[in-house]
Amino acid sequence: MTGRFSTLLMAGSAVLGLLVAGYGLFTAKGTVMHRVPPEDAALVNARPILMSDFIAQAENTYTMPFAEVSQERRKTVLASMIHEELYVQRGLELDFPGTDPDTRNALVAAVEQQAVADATTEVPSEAALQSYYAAHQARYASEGTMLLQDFRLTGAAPAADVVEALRRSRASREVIKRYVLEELRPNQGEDFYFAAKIHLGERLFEVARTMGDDAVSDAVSLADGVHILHMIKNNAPAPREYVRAREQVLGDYKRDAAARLRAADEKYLYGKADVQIAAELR
Amino acid sequence: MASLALIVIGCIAQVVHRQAMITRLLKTDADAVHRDDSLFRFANRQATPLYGEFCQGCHGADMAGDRSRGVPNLNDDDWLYGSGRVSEIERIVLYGIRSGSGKGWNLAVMPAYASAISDRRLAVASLSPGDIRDTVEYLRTLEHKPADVDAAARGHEIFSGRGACYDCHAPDGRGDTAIGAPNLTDDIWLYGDGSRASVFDSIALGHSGSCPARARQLTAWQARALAVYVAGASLPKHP
Repeated sequence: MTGRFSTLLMAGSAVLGLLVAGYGLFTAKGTVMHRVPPEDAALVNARPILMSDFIAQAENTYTMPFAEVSQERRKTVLASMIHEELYVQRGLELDFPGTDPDTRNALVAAVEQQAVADATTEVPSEAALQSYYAAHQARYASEGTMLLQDFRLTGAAPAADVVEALRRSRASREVIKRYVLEELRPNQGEDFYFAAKIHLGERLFEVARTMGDDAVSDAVSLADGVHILHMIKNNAPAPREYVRAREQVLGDYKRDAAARLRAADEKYLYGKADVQIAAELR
Repeated sequence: MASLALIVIGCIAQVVHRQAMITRLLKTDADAVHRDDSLFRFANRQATPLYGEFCQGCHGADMAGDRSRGVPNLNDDDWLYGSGRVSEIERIVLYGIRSGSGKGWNLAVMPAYASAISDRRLAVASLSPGDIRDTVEYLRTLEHKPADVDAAARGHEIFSGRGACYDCHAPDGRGDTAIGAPNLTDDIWLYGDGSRASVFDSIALGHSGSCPARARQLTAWQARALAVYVAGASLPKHP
């Protein structure tokens, strides 16, 4: 009797357990919390909406300090944030990350960002930065400047004669006129090296870069004619001391660290993934 | 036995009190914390070691910043982003400036005008050395410093035209704290000493200072306490 009763009790308990589990399964709302933590403005299926995000959203929406945002407006903002959270959660349920290109792009960008977060937040020591600066000193030079005249031959005189005359007269107006030289971009003023390179083109710039003040170049034949350069003033790039270059050094240091982290992250992901590639694409 | 019980009760009371203060700190309007003396003192006490751990490395123990590195002074009332309200500082503590966080302040950078500006989002043109020198003269007039008048006139054209400086720094040069564009009229310098050479470098080489996001390292109440601490240090009217 006692054995049958025990069996019945066990069976009854099992049925009751199954009923509770079934009810829970088919009416699931996730973990229910009955109290919103003080740092949150709301919980949506136990996912918090941070109070600081809510405040920022309210201030941005109404461009006024939070204290001045009315209760009604606060409710409107919170409702829109809850709406967003609900739709994000629904989007995950509908597997948008698996199907929607915009969601996938956003996820890729966010994960990449996360991978380099350590490099972004790291505050490297001065010693580390100085050693980086020492190892890459060539990068940290001032942008050179040059002031020059770019002449194109239009007359019939041999180029060598024109060069000689320009050198002798230090590119006087009289010589320029006599040999009918066309000055390209006259009165342009001083240029940074990068701009001079764009204006002159690679080949002329390479000639100009090495010229001293008041020098006249040899004739250079290009597709548009024969050019002769008169360098008035050439300030070559000069190394910048660490103190003046520090901001760039820090930026480069972090960029390099981020690239290393990104590569390591990719290696890790590949390492733990099972990637099968179709035979014809291997 | 009784003394042990007293110690245990004392400890429990302290934990409960601390938790109550943390809840109050989070529940009180961030910008009104300084009006609650006990809460303000609690926040400062909690934030002091946090400042040492997370902020002091750049801003210094005295919060004076470092102009050689573009680190702002937190003691004065000159704010690059926002107006120094606790809620604004809290946002910077959590999400940073150009930190890579989508919630951070990432709206603008100072372009390097002595370079080929290839970013199409920046509707600005590269400048020549002469253009930059002229712009520097114009900026000197904004601060009522001696300047070459002709060069300043040309610089004004650049500031308001192809340099597009006005776009961030405002047509009157007073800056825009919504995007972290400094006021150019007040002789407070984030980088350098305001000399011609230093301003020339700033225009030529550009700037994009950053502040790391600490949302993953700090809890909400710690970020709030830190923000209260920083805001309190900068405002003499606070206790």
